[in-house]
Amino acid sequence: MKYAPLLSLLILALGLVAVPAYSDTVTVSATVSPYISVTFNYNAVDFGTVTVGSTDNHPTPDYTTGVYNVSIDTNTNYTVSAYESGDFTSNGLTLDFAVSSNPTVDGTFYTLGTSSQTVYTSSLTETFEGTEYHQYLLDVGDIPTGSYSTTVYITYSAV
Amino acid sequence: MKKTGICLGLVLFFFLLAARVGLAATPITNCTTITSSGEYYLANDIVSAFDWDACILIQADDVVLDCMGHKVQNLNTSQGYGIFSSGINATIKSCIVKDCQYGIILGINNTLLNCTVSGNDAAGIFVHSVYGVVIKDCISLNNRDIGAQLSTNVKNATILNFVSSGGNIGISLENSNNITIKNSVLSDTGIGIELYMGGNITIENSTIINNGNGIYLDESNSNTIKNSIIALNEHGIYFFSAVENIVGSIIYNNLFNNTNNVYFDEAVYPNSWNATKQVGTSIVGGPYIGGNYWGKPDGTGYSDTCTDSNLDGICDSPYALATDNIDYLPLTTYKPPTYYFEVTFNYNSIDFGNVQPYNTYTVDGLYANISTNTEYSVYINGTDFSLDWTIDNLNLTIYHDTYSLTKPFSTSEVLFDSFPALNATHYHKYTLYVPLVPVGNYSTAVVIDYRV
Repeated sequence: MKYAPLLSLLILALGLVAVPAYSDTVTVSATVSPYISVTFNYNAVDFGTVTVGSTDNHPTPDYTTGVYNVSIDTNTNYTVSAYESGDFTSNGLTLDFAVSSNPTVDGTFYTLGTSSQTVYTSSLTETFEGTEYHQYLLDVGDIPTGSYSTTVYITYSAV
Repeated sequence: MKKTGICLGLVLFFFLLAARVGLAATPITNCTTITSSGEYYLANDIVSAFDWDACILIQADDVVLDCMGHKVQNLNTSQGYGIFSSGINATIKSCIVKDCQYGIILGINNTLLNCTVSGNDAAGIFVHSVYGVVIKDCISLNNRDIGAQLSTNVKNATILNFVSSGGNIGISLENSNNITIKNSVLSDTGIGIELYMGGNITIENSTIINNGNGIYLDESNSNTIKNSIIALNEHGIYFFSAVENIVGSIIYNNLFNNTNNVYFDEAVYPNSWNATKQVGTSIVGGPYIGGNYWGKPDGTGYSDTCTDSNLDGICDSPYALATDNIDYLPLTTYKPPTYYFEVTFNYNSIDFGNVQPYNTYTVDGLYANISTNTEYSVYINGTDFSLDWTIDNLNLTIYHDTYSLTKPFSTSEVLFDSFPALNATHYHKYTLYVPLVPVGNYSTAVVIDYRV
């Protein structure tokens, strides 16, 4: 008993307490859906004065300048389909349309009819942010002099 | 040529044999005088009657005497010397010396190892006017006057692991200088350690307990007493000086627990009672070394009852022992802060579902409950979703009451914020911006770390 005060001091000295920390590991998940955004950078194509009976007329300005283009932003493959309202076809004019990644390299031309047809299919392996070029050619039949116009419908669809 | 080689070999053999014989220790069976250097051993106990001479007298230098646990005992109680070394560089070990006037007397640069002295009259171990003495692992029991006495101009001596009990004085240093007493226990005597004149004595890591006076300083200068337990003595340290021009001692990190911890008899001269406050484990387990612990057996000592508002193990106020004797950093019982800190999360996963590039999505309503009385901080980090989709597109908002803060995750840990010592519910809101990344399922892991 005589040593009790001394012993109590030594025991208290050992009474250290560890302070914990708490950590939460959180799994964060998301599923990314197909996405495509297309901005048309032109809304008119003018072939100017053309000659009856001529073929493969280029518009003014020429499509090789790249002026008829669209901006594309996508994480998925897509198709491009097109048709015209029938105003050219019914009047003896034939409009050909192609899609190309390079304005000076011709794509595969398709003659536009009045029903939609696929004219291009992408083959992406990653995302794509860039410019795509549209190319037009006009064949003129034996038709009367005058001004002719039509409406072309172009649709980009995610695959 | 061949005969010459054989002869040289024989010469070498007999030379080595002779040398080996020369190195063998010499047995001692009775009281004797050693006059030649070399090794000696006690072959048996020597229980003899001798008066004013020594049983074993070492007169040569460089002697090693190994008693091998045998005893030297004087039947003429309280007379003569058990072992008396006047030789230089003697080593005396494993001896038991009993019932002499002086048990063992040591000379210059002598080393005494693993010996026990008991029942001697004047001193168990006696050192007089020499230097370089080492006393290690020795025990003194019930020597009538002094356990170990270093008298008159002893210099540069060391006493290690010395245990002394009984008698008038455990260790007496009289007019001696540069002495170290370390890891020793002095108990149940009139005076545990006596320092009379001389100085530069260091007493450390020792226990001085249950004596009349734990340490008695009589006009001794410039001593250091540290890291020791001085307890249950009538006086912890007894200062006696008839003059005031004594150079004081530094006395720190000791545990005093005596009825009278310090007593000044006649002149009071300045002493230092604390070291500079420094990080280190104090004698009572506190986080700082500073002054001394001033306890009393009845629990009413200054350190027993002082206030330690910042919980650093040091009393808030100095302790004045006498004029110019103030412990500015008195220790107190270290009371480790009783922290509590607990955090529970109500979630461990988040699914943003189907998302599209260039959109921002939010998951809200998650929370962490914090129960605490201490300040804490939150750290966050994560890993990227993919090469294209870095984790800094994910933001965490923590909000509660009027508090709201948003920070992006990073692949390296960042401090989100620090918070006060209050219970709280932290709501967690995650905001995810989806860049243009390929179609697919993505997942990653983020860590929310709450730490004191």
